[in-house]
Amino acid sequence: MQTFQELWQLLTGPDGELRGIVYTTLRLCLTSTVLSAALGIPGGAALGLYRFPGRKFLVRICRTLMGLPPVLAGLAAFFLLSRSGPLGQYKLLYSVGAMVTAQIMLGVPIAAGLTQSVIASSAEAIRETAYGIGLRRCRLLGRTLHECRKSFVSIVCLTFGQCLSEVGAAQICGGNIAGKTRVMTTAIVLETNMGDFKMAGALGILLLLISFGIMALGAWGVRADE
Amino acid sequence: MNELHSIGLNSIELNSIQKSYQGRTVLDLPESLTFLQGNRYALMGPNGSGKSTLLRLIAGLLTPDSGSIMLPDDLRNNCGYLPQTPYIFDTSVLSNVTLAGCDKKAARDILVTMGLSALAAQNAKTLSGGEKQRLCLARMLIRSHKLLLLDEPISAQDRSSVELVANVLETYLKETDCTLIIATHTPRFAELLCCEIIHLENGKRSEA
Ligand SMILES: Nc1ncnc2c1ncn2[C@@H]1O[C@H](COP(=O)(O)OP(=O)(O)OP(=O)(O)O)[C@@H](O)[C@H]1O
Ligand SMILES: [Mg+2]
Repeated sequence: MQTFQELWQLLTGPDGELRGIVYTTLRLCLTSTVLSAALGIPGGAALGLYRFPGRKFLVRICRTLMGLPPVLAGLAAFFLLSRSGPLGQYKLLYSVGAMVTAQIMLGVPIAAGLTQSVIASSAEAIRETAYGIGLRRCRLLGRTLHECRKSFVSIVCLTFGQCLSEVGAAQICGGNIAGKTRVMTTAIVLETNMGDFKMAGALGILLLLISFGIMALGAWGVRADE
Repeated sequence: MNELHSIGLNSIELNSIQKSYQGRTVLDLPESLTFLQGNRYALMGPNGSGKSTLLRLIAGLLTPDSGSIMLPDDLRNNCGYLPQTPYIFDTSVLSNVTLAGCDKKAARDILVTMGLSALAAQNAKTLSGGEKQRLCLARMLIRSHKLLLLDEPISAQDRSSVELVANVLETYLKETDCTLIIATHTPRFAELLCCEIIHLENGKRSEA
């Protein structure tokens, strides 16, 4: 009970540090999730729907990347964005932009892989039926996305969950800079290392609450659609 | 002479086609098979005899392992194909029909013909098996095709609906001069509608 009171005071008190951390966390995760879903869902749908050479290989890669350890995504983004890397000129390292880049590498395979597996079971029937009634190929993708719209909420929620919970990528690409790139997970690591278990615990509870809130929102979205 | 020529031009010719899955031959027609323009054919035979495979080969969804299929472009571009288990889109009955490329007026008309007009606003996924099947047929018939391939279009229809579908198809075929090839297990339907019955067994053509 006391923990909750302290948490509330920290959130509403004059010191805005915690508020800043929560804000950065939400901004980061929402951006990453939206971009990952925007890229991953149509990509996954195309992967599930169309037959082309190399498709099976791509699906396998996608499956593998769904379990990509966040530190590796962070490392890849780090090399990409570091001064000597291919995208070094944009000077994104240690910014939220860099963290978004890393989280997209985590989020896109998840969104794409889940969409592909949702579509896989009905892809054949949809394709043959659409072919049979003369639906054009370009309209087919849109139609198929429409067909699995009910799964999108859970796909987006799972992608968001991964972005929210990962710490490796945020740490490597963001650097845990106070007031700039510090997010809840990296703050928890820091507080734990400094021995402030209370603060770490409070942050942990808050993280859980946010996660729970998002999932509840998702569940509500699914039900509202039905 | 002229007429003969046009028949030859628009007929479908299968020449010694063969199709195997994982080394198992599921269709083997060493002789040639011709489907004449405007004629109606029924494929009959036990489960697994290769009816659906043959229809999918003609539709261009499969390619034969050997042999050739001569399908005039005119037919290829105006071919309607109804799979054995067609997909019903998760939207209203009416929208399921308009998806195939017609306006609402035409869609309503065909639903009336198929005895589905009362269900137009209902979600198509909630239809009964037979209603779903008639919806899929309605979706096929809103365009005028030159070639219609129907894979077991009445397997879920009751007696009176079989007659309804046969009548609707009869009218459609008279209007469009379309070639029809159906796969069916219902001899009565085949007899009502078709002039030639092709029996298949174990992937081979057989006598009745
Ligand atoms: N994709 C596939 N992979 C392996 N075997 C297949 C495949 N498609 C069809 N077959 C086999 O080919 C054979 C012929 O199948 P087909 O669907 O043409 O039968 P059918 O005559 O339409 O039967 P039914 O009356 O049950 O619809 C079957 O034995 C089936 O197992
Ligand atoms: Mg069949």
